[in-house]
Amino acid sequence: MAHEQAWIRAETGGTKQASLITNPAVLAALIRKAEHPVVIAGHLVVQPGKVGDTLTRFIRDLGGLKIPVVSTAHTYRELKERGITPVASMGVMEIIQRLCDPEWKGINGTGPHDLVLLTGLSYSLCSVLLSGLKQGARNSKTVTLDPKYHPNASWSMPNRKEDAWEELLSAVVCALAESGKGEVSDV
Amino acid sequence: MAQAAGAGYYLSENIILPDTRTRVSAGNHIRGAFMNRKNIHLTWGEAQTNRGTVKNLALHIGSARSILSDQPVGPTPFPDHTDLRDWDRILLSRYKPLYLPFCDLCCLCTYGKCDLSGGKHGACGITMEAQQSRIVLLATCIGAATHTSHARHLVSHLISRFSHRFPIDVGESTVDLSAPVTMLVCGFRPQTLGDLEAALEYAERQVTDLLAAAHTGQEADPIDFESKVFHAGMIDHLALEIADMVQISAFHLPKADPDAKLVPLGLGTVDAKKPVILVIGHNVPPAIDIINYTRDHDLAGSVEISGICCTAIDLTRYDPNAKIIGPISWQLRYIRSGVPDLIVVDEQCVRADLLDEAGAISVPLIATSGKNCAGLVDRTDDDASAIVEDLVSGRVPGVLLLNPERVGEVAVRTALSVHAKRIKKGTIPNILELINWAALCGGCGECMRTCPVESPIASAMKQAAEGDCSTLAAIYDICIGCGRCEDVCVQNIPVHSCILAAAGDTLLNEKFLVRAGRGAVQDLEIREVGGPIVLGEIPGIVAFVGCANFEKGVGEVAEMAREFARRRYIVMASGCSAMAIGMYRNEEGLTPYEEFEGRFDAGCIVNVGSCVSNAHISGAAIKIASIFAKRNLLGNYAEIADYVYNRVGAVGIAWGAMSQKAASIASGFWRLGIPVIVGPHGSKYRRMLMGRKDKDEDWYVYDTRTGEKVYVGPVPEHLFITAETQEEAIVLAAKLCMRPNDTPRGRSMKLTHYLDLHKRLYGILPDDIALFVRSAADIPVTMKDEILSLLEKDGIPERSIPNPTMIVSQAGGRTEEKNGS
Repeated sequence: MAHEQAWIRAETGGTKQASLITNPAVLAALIRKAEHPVVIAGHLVVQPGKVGDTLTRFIRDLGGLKIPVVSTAHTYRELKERGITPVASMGVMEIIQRLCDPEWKGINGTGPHDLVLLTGLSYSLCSVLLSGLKQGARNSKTVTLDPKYHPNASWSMPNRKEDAWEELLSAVVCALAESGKGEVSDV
Repeated sequence: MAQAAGAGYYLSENIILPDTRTRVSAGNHIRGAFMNRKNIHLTWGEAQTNRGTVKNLALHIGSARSILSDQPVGPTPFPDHTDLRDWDRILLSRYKPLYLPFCDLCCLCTYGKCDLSGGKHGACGITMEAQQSRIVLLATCIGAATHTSHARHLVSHLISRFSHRFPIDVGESTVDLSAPVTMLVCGFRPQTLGDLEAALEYAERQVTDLLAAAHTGQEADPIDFESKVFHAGMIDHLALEIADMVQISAFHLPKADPDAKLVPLGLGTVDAKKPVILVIGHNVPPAIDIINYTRDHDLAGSVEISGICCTAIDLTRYDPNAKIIGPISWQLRYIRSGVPDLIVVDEQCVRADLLDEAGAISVPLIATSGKNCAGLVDRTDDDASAIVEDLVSGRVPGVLLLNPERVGEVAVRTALSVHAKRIKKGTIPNILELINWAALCGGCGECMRTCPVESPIASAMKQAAEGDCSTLAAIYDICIGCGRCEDVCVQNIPVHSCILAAAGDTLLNEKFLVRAGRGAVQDLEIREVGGPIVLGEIPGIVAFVGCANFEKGVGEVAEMAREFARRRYIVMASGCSAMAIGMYRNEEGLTPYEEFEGRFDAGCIVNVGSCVSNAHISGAAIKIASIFAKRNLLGNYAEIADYVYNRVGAVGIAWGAMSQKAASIASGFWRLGIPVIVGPHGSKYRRMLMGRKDKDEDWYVYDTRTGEKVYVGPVPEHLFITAETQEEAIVLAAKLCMRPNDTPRGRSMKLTHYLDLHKRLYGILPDDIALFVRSAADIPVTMKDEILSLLEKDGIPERSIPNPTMIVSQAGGRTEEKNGS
């Protein structure tokens, strides 16, 4: 499958297409350099199966970086059971709305989020949310962690088979751990 | 608006007389209301004046302005968009658009394509924000135009059949307030079919004006576009009400009947051994004439008349022996089953490829609407026998017939003949054929890359090729029946048919019951529940409306409806969502319509009917303001919307909203201040209308008792929002039912449901409880200790409960601010 084509082909995006993350060092660098990153975890993160398990593990592995996690929909309880404590439970539209407000001080009140990591949302919904962020949150970079290419993101994972995608995320965790700021947690 | 003559007119049906000493039996004294009217017929049997006697005088007046009501008319009868712009801006100052563009471009004129991303303007100067709102306006104009056209067709058809004097009657003695939307918008109370022409002319003019505003170089401001969206929605509800009023009246559909019959739903209820006619669409006269033809020719019961989408709903309102197959998403699966012997389509939500699908099972198709000619030859004026012969012989794949009575005759005769010669065979493969098809699958995954519900088709095919069809069968439950998977298959595998094959007899065994659409809500019902609703003691009205573009099948709608009915909300339903609720059985084997009563009351599920019956949902909210609160409706939109917004805890859930009509229906609710939640695909409507609970300054109202501005908290927090999951929708709906006017007992009850649902479905209490607790009396008794400990830090507020309004003039013009805490 072509790595850089929208997973649902009709969701072609706009005049700018997301940059591909094929090198784990790229995502690690994006995370490392961000001053106020945030993870938005949708309900598919806690869905049974390999994708959910991999995403849970990745988010958990980021724990040491103190990146706040916002759970959407009804995801909070299961995330907590999986060892991740979100800083907030919000509707996904509500968090996107806040992110599009340039005066919003972020989920912890420490400043606007310059990096938004989205994951665990249905493809079509995620596509329009990324489009909303692209237009409304121009100072934020967006990254999608799911194994499907999203043209509306700033940076996107490629379309990958689950095993290859899992390897890529693991490599990102390793790259973060090896970096100066890499206090990746074993929570 | 000008008055035609001096004050004091009489009206009796269409007879309007000046205030002479002429006697007019059954006349109503009219004061103060004026409107445009056409085709007025005046007849004097005998009139005695001070100058002599006149006998048998008949006059026809092409048009006139006349007085048509016994109530004073408010400030905005027949409003243009700008007449209600201030009200819209009040709402839109709280609920600002969150834009979610489908793409970066505007492609609407030859200046473009223009890239609007990153703050760029188009060649015409338009911004991305305005462009998105403009697209929403276009969608709602399409929706409003569709319903207005539908209503126009019905009114014209029924006037030609029954005369313009045919009385409107939607509830016999149970409904005096029969046209709440028309009264509110147009400022008059229609009494006959002919009375509605003025309302329709108004609607048509408004939709034209709104559409014109979307032209290049017209409206530029996104909020003004949004205001026009609201206007389109209001017009849409007017058209909905007209359409359903006239069909209820003329076809004697259930008249506000809470005990409307339970009618069959599902393919399993169809006797495939009989000739079977399938009707699809929304505009029911052709389908009714099919029924009439069978009755008139002693064929009732000999022919199965089944339907999909709203025509099916309306057909069962006319004849409970008709069969509803399912929502719009059942089109392909039912046709491919091979059961129908003839397909008759009218308008709206009809698949564009049905002629091909009909041909594939060797049955003809009859198109019946000028809006959907399907490329077929118009044979309306041809001899019926010749048409039947052409259809049965297969000389033509279908015909266009624009006369419903002609449709009735041709359809029944054709179905009988086709059935006699046709061996019913569908296009769904048998299990061996399925496995052979599956073996051809190369696993490229293109089907999954077009599937709107992201079903795992490729892996399911792989399993099926090895003889295990279980995964493919499971897809049946979530499939929306779009068929896109087939078009992209490089091996030309009939993927959708393979899914149907894997599901085996599931389709054939679908046997459910749905309560026939009851139409309006009775005045008495409003009297009984108006108080508890406004005071908050019935926790809310949750209305399930809209199409079948569900992400996880029909089951979620039924589950949500049952959840709220069990919690003693008033649950309302219409259209495909009403069917979806019926396609469910509880542990005891009961459908929700058997489990819950059909009254407009706490703990009941009220199926109002088809898409056009949505007007009875907005109408019920409006009637609460009139019947319970004694507010004048006539031409008084902003005041009534303000009342509904602040007091009636209603929320709509359009879980599978797909169409432009769904957009206009939703926008009609928004202008009344009624929030709407959509499912994940609803995010594709390109923008949400959302409040900010973290901005206290947004949540002030005027207290009409004091004129002071007081903080009331974010109630309701949003006007239009996508929920990601069923669980989120349930919690949101409970929250969005809160209103400033809730009494402590009512707020306590609403909070109980919100907190309980949040805790059960999310695993935690929400973090915004403090925003909804105005005083200790609001705290649910069963959770008192837990909530008190949460509120301990900031203390328990002591906020008064205002008599709320958003309109300065309603507050006596005083604008003092007070935080109330």
